[in-house]
Amino acid sequence: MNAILAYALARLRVRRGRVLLAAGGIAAAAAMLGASVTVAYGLATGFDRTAARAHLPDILATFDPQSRESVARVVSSLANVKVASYRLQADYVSIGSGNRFDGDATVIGLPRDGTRGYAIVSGRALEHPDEALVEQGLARSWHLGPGARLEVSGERLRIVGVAVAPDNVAYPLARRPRVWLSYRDAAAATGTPLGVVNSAVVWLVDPKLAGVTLDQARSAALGVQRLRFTTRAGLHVLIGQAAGIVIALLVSFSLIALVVAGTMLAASANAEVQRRLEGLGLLRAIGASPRAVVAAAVVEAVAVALPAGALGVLVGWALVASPLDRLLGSLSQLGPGASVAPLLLGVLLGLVALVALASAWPAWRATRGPAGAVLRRGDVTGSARRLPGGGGPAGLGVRMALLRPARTAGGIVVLGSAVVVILLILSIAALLLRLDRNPVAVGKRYQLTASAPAFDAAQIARLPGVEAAAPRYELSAADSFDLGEAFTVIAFPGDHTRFEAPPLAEGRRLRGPREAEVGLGLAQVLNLSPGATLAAQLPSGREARFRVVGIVRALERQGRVAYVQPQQLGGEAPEQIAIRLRPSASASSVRRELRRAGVFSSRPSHGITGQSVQGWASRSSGFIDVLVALLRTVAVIDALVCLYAIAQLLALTVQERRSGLATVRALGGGTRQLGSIVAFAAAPVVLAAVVVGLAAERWLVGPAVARLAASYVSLTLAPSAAAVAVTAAGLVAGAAVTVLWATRLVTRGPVVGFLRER
Amino acid sequence: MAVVRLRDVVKTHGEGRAALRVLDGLDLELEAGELVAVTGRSGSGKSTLLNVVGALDRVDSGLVEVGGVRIDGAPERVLAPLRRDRIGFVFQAFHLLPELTGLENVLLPARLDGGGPALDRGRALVRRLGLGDAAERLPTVLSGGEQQRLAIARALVNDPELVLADEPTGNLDADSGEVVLDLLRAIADEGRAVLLVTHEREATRRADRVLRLEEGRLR
Repeated sequence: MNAILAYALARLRVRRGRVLLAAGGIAAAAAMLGASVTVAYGLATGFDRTAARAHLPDILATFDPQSRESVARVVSSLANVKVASYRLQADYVSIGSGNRFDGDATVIGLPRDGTRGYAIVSGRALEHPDEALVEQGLARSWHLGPGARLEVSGERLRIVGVAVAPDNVAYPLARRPRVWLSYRDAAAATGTPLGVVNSAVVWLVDPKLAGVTLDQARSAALGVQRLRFTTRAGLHVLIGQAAGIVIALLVSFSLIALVVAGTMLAASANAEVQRRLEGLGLLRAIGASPRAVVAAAVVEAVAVALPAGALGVLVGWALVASPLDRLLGSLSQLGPGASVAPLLLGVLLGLVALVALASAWPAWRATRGPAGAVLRRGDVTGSARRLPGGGGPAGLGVRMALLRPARTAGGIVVLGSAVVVILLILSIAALLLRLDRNPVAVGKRYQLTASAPAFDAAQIARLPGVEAAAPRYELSAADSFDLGEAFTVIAFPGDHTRFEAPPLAEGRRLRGPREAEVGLGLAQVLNLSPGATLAAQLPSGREARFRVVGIVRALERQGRVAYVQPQQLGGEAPEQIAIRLRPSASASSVRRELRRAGVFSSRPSHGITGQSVQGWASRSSGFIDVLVALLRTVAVIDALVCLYAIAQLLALTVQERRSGLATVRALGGGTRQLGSIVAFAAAPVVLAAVVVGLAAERWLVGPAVARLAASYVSLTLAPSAAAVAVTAAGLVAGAAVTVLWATRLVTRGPVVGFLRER
Repeated sequence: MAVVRLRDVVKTHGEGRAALRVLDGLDLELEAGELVAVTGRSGSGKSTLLNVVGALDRVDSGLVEVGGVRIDGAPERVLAPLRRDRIGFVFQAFHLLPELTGLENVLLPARLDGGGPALDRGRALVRRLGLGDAAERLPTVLSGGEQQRLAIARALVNDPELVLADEPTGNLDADSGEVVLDLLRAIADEGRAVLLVTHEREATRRADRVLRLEEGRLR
């Protein structure tokens, strides 16, 4: 047995070129796996990981300013409370540093009680007055760090740390940057009397009983104005929902990548053993036991797969680690750091086991028959039937591919799967950019809004470039049954889908003034379904009731919206006009027309602003850009895997048919003719893979992935013509490179060297 | 003018202590219409000589000229068209491609350069050699004699001025061997130079000259 293992290792030393090729392929597949597993794990566990590090409270309550003692009295009356902390939180606070300024920051004043709710990523916690902690998003945007100065409401403070709190996405994805100060500094900055707080954070003994504690708190806090509760579980749902689409897509991709890499590694390992069947037959012929033959194949495979796989997993992790951290940073979450290491180790072990099994299987089969038959199996004996293709170099290449139908089919499956992944990633990236740049993609069908009374809509609709205009009403409401839950009511007279048409997930569109379509986020929070009643407490205190007829996948406000008709709102909502432009019209020219319309300028209180509804998206640009970059990185890795798969396929064909190709050289075939043969040996596989991959992505995988992510938004993951062209061109270019390489393999050196091998 | 001219050719196989000088200052001239048989012990370098003349292998030193073209040290872009257009090679193991039918194998050298009149010549050769049935079949179902005749037809399809045959009857029975040797004689009689490597006495009887390769030289 030792001799057989020594033989296996000696083969590795002698056949360095082949070993490097095999190792390159394994490393590429491992890189793909390492990258996708890191991304999927990082996103899927980001909230929990950060919440644990930040000691995120189980319940966060906000309310109108109260004395700390009165709030503490209410909280102390509750059961199940482990620790509570009382804070001062204020929006619209002005902050500045250097030449940067923001007048809409959130300041949180912390008592010196040791409680947190955020994780410090650099620097330290607050210890003294005149110190500030800034959120990571702000620190990145403004290039701040410990030691820098920050002005809060005109007071100069020293930044001592940078923190993340996963209860909201990060600035600038969130509208307001967050700054933590000592309670005294926050009170001074907001002009609040000492001893007054407006938020309480509570850690529970048993977080599973949060619902019971909330019910108790609502009863105990009767009379407290604008009381709103948020639970850690609720935050998880909301943040998870925001990142849900991304996580669902990347997890789906990881699964596909796993299948592709697994198939490819198995095919590659199998091919390697097929290639050396002659050698295995020789071992049998000289008396090696079947066990020793299989062991030799496994040792050889593992000796290559382990270091190459480790390198690949490491490279894949390294490629995505930084963009993933940035992406998670946008969500106020921490990167996975070393916690992903056990998972990557598992991936590596699984990968090595797969390669070992795929190598052991054909070796084991080779030990079943007579040794002589195995010896002969290294040769191509030719097909008893005629194959399609002409008798020239091109036809010869096609026939070389078709002579091995199983290998050709395997190559098509592997390459086709890789094409599916690439097309899927490009489609997702394009979709994300569409979401970022074009609100129509998320169901908004108007481009401008103008603050104007409803009766001006008809006049605006007649302006050049305007296709339609209608009053749009939007106001904040709270659920009458569960006052802690706030949501946004949006109303259009008549059919709102002309202006806003978030995809319908369940039920039907509203038809009358007593019906409502609710966003998926609101439906989940209030447990609403078609047929249920939505009781909305309006800002005036009046209640309006609607029958829920449909659930829509609205992106805005995490889906906490309700679409109704305006009759029941009783004129409470501030009026604005939604303006839908003609396809050929530009927003700026319509804005000019709006300014020219004198009727509006006579009413300064209703001045036309022409705000672009794309504004919400501009804040998310950084986030989307990072995500798109991440996806494209994975696509590039996948393309490298594609390249390897083609190279492996061609190397195998060239190796197996080296004698035939040498004969062609002996008959006068030069580089051009040999290149033609090799190219046409690759062509059936590459072309079929493009067609199969395109069809599978368009009709199978794309819709399946879109369904996975459908809890958040309706997606169309059909690849664009550009994506198809780029993928096909990339694949053909990659194939061309590998053809040149394979041609060089068969044209270098004297012809007789290859002929003699026969 | 000589079709083949070799002067002081040296060719070594192996390296270091295992190095073996199989051609050691070898000289050879071969005229058009001449059939020369080269004999010698196994391992004496007969096939190496043929490979060198056929531009399949390179020499260490010396001059190798085929059809007036000096090929020692010539790049592949010079050698490939030379092999295709001016040299026909008949191998002991036939080297027919299993993916192609008999006729397609014969026509392959012609198609490497686009075809033309050589295609008609190939079809005529197949008929002349009595390979009508074999032409449409794959090599794996043909007899050794049929395969070798197809290989000879392939060697002639581009109308080369030099035909090299490496043990062409080594894998054939006596009757098939006779047919092949007659064919080679006829090829020489048509004005081509034929260099035949063999260790069979029967083959040497048809040669114009018989040379023996010993200690790296022809005697």
